Amino acid sequence: MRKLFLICVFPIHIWAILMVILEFQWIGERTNFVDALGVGAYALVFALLESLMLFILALILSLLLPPAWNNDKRLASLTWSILAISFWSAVNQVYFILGAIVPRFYANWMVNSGHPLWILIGTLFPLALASIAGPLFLVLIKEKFTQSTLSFVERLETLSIFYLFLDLLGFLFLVYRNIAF
Amino acid sequence: MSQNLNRREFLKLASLLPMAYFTPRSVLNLHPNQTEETPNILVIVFDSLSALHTPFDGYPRNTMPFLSELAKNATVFHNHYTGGNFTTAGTSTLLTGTYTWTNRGFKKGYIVDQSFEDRNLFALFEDYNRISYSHNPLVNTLQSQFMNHLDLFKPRRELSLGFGNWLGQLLKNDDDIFTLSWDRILSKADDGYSYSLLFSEFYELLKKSVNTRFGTFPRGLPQISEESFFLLEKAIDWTVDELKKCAQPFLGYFHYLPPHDPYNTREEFIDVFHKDGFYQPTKPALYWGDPHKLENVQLRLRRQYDEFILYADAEFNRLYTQLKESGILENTIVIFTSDHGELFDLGVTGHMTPLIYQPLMKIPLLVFMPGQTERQDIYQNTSATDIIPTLLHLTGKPIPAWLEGEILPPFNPTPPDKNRSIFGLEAKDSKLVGPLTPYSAMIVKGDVKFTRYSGYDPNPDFDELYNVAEDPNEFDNLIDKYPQIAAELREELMETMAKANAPYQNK
Repeated sequence: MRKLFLICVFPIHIWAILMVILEFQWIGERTNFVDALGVGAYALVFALLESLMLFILALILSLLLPPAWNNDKRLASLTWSILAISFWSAVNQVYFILGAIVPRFYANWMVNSGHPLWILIGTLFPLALASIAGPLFLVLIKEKFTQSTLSFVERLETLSIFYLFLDLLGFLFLVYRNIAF
Repeated sequence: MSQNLNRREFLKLASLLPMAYFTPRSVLNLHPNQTEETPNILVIVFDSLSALHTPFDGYPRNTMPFLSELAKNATVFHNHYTGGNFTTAGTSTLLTGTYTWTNRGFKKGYIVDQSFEDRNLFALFEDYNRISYSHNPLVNTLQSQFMNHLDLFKPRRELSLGFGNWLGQLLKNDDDIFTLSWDRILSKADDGYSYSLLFSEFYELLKKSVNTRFGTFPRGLPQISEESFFLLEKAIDWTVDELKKCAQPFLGYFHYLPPHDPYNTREEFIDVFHKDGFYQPTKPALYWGDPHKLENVQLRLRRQYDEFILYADAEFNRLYTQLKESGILENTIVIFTSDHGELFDLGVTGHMTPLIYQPLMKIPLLVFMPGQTERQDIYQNTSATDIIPTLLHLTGKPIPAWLEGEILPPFNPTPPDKNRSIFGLEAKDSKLVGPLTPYSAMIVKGDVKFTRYSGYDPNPDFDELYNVAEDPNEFDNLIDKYPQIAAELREELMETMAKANAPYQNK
C-alpha cells in the first residue's frame, strides 16, 4: 500500500512542480517572490490531495485484478496503469503548453475524412489502450518484467518521499500565510 | 445647578432624552475629526459597462431606465474614456489618477508600480473612513496593494457563493493568492493546461453540471471566476447596511461585476429585448476576431449583455433609493462609472482583445452632487484620470502634481480646453520594463480619435483615424483622407508614451 501511494505521488508532483517552475517568473512579477512561493505551496498541497484521490482510485482498481495475482504483480500492473494515465493526461496538456501543431498529413487526413473527431479518437484510443494493456500483459507473462518494474518503483520511492516532504513545507508555509498575513 | 445632581435636576435633564431620536444620523456617525460639511464620497463601478450600450449615448435599447430617471439629478458625461480596455488597466487608471504607462497596471491580474502604493485614491483621503469591496478578483489584487490605506476591505468571498468560496473563506487572509492558485491549479479554460494533472479534467465537467438553472437565474448564476458565483443583491444589501452604520465622512469604492460576462441576468429581464427589431451592422474581423463568427450569434450575445445591464440598473436603483431614504445622500458625492466597455463587433465578443474601439474605451460617468436637482450634460472629452483630481477639488484638498487628470467640468473653475488630449493603452502582452510592445494606443482630441496598433507580429503595424462625433461606430477610417492630422496625433501620442515609458526602458 505504501509503495502504491508513493507511485501515485510521483507523476502528480512532477507535473505540479514543473508547472510551478514554468509560471514562477510571471507570478513573481505580478506581485512578488513570496506570493509566487505561495502559489507553489498551494500547488503542492493540492498535489498531495490529488495523489490521495488517485491512490483511492488505484485501490478500487486493484479489486478488479485477478485474485490469483500476488502483491508483486498487482503493484507492477497498477504502477504501469497509473503511469500510462498520467502520461496521456500530460500529453493532453503539453499540447497547449508547447503550442504543438499536428503533422500536416495527419491534419489533412482528419479534414478530408469529414469526421476529424472520430479519426482523432480512432488513432489515439488504441495507442492509449496499448500503453495500458501492453504492460499488463507483460506483467502477466514475464516475471522478469514484474521484478524490473518493482525495482523501478523502489528507485522512485526516495523521490516521492522527498515530494511529500516538500508538501509538508508547503502546508506549513500556507498555515503561516493565512495566520500571519 | 449644583455639582451633584438632585432628583429634580435629573428629571429635567431626562425629559430632553427623546430629542436624541431626532438627531440626524449623519451627526451620530460623524468621524471624531470631521464636520458635517465634509461630503462623503461613494464610487460605484459596474464592470464592463460600455457607454455605447446606455441611453446616454443614444443607444436605441433602454438598458438603464432607472438610471435615466435618476440622471435628472446628476451631471452626465457623454464622452468619458477609460485608460484601458480591461479591468486591471481601467481600474488602475481610476484608482491612481494616472495612465497605465505611468502606473504600469497594463498587465492582466498584476499590481501597479510600487511607487503608487502611497499614491492612490485611498491614500489621498487619509482623514476619511475608507471602505472597499469588489466582486472582481483582479480589482482585489490591486486593492490588496493599497491595503494600508483602507479602513475596511471586505473580502470578496464573504459576499459570494460556491464550494471554492467555502474554502476561500477559510483562507480569506490570503484571498488573492488563493484565488490565483485555484485558477491555475484547476482551470484549463484560459490556457488549456493546469497544475493539476488529472483532477482538472473532472473539474471542468463538474463546473458545467453545477451552474445550470438556479432559482431566479434561468441562464445560471452570475459568475465571478471559475469557482465562485454571486448575487448582486447580496452585495448591494451589504453596501447599504455598511454605509448606514459606518463612520463619516466615508470614501466607499464598490466594484460590482455585472454586466461582465457570463451575461446571466435575472429572470424578469430575460428576453426583454428579444425580437425588438434592433440591428446594428458589424465590421469584418481584423487580425484578432473570429472571421467566422455569425452575425446572429453576435446579436444574441449583445442582447443578453443588454439584458444583464437591466439587472445592474435595477440594483443600482435599489442602492441609490435606500441610501437616499436613509438621508446619507444629503451629504454624499456619488460617482457612477465603469472600468471598461464591451465589444460585439469585428468578430470579437467581450473585452480581452488588443482592439480599442469606442465600445471598449467609452464608459459611462454620472456625478450626483448633494442637493443637485437639475441635470447637466457635459460633452467635453474626459478621462478616468479625472476622477481623483475632481474629488480632491470638491473636498477642498490639494491636488498633487503627479496626477495626470484634470478637474471635471463643470466643477473646474478654469474653462475646459476643447483640444485636450485623452489617452488609452492596451499592452497586456508587453513586458513591464523595456519598450512597450506589442501595444494598442489611442489619443482622442476634440472629435477625432487616432489609434495605433504596433508590435503584433506577424500582423503589420497600422493606424486608424475616426471622427467619433460623426461616426461613433467607427466605420469610416479617415487615415488616408487626413494624413496631416493623423501625423500630428501620432507624434503627440508617441511622444507622450515615450516620455512615460522612459524610466522603464533600461531597468
